[in-house]
Amino acid sequence: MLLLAVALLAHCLVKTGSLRQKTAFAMSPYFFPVILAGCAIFLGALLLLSGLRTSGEETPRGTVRLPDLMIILALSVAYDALLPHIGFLPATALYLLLSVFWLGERRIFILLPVSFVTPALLYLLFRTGLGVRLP
Amino acid sequence: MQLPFQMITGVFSLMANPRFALYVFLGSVAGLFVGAIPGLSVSMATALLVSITYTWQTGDAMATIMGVYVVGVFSGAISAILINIPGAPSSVVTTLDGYPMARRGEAARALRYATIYSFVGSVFGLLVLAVLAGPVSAVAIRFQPMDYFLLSLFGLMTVGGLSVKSFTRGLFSALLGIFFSLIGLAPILGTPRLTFGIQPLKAGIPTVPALVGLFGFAEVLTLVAGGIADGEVSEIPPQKIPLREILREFPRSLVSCAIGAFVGALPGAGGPVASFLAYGQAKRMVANPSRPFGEGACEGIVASESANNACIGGALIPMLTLAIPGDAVTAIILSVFTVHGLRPGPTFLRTDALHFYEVLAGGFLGCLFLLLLGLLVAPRLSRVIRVPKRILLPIVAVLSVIGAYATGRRLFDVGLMLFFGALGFLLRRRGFPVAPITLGLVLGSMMDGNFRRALSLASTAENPLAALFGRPATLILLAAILLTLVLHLPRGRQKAERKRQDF
Repeated sequence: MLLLAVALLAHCLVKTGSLRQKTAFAMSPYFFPVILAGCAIFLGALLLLSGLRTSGEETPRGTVRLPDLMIILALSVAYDALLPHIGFLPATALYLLLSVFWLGERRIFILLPVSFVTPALLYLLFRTGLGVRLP
Repeated sequence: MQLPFQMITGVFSLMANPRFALYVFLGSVAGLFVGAIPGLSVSMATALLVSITYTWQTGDAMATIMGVYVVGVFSGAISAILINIPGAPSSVVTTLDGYPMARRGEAARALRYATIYSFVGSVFGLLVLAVLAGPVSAVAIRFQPMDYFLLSLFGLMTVGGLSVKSFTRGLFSALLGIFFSLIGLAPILGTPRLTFGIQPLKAGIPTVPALVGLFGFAEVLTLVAGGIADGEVSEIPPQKIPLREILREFPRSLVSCAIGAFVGALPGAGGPVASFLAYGQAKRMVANPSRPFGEGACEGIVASESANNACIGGALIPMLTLAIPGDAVTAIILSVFTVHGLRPGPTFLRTDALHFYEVLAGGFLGCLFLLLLGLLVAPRLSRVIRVPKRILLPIVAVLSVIGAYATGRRLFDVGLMLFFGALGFLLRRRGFPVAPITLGLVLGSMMDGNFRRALSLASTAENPLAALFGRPATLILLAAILLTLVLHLPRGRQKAERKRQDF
């Protein structure tokens, strides 16, 4: 976080210097971001110091099921990428089928209805019922 | 100040309108399920509603959202009591006594207490809103740009809450939110700012995809990462519970309601803080509870639910009169107003009195439906909240995609939603709260604009410092900010935390 704040401050200062329009620094678009970046660096330093002080007393944060997380994230990104190419209904059915299967549902009589009926219901509800445009 | 007679007639005429009541009812039913099912949240539902109600009439949108808000905050108590998993952050404290009561076979009693005192709290908060909105607007109309800037800053400083560490992290999250709000074309000069050469970012970061990502998709990732074990649901044996026994707590609940309404009105604070404070106060106030607190004391549920529901009305005060959200949900509701072309602020009650009445009428009707649904339907929800997460979570992810796309109709917004979802997940894992990002997103560009206007005005004054900080309101706000900082200094917090360890 601290490194990110420092990088942002540097970016803002460089951009301020390169602005073609001659304007007082206080009125430039990067004045407020520079102040924020400075505050972020200060807070980041505080957090870093506090983290170093208590590093021996870290409370366990619980395990992360990394494969599940990465797969669901990857499937979601792939879903977003597929939407403009194959449309909402097929993309959603495929996404639901793969995600629900990966998360542990193996019963076909639940897997198939959830994957194929849910997109249809969502389409009816949002597109036809509520008039919401779908991807 | 709003003429009471006009307000009363305006609100009652809306409440008597069948169409308006129907929309509140639909929102209330949605809020009941959304709040009760862990994995769904009022914030997420409200964020989705911004997109869904985009093409609706403003009154219909207000009615639905108020129904979702009022009943959704209450229904977090249902899963808190039945499966020890709060359906909403503000119901965390309810688990302390609600679940032990359910384990003793008193789930119906616990739900009855939660329903009735959520109703009491909601009505109290809305009455406070009705009475105070006018006077607050009258004061706010005299605010200068620097006052608005400092008020927003004060609001962001109250988000950290309870410990030095969480205060620092809360501020950091708020700064992150402000940064995101500054992305786009800079005001006045119109030059791209913080876009890093990404063309679609010139339009800025739209609020809705960010909110849906932070509250919807991030929740999906959190639950997936933490394992898909479903909670064990307590059964609800039928019980006769005399109303007189429940109403015995009414006088004490008013104290919790007052705490909730006050905390709700503080920009940046919210239901979790209110219910925590009210619970602590109840522990100090009640000499002989029905059982020890934390082991199934109904007084604990009364305090928590009264406070977190009174927060609703309190949080709407700064949102409507100052355009500064009181909590994450009101930050999202502010987006609804913006999308419908409304501008909350000091003149809102004068120029848009009808919409103010809609908020009140929707809230009061929501309270009535809360009572109805809470007493009749909530005890039967145990089967619904058993929906396995492995089926629920992918559906929530799809709803998040729909919500992100619906307003702007850009697939880029869906990508933004995924980004904010991943960001929200990572921040939570590292102990950074997510709600301050919402507030920063909503308040950031307003703070930037007010800051520049304040500097611009001061630069033309004879005494720039006096022009910036010489007014009483400005000095009071500065003092409040400094006091908040001092209270969160390590030495000051240690004393407070020692006290809190009794809790």
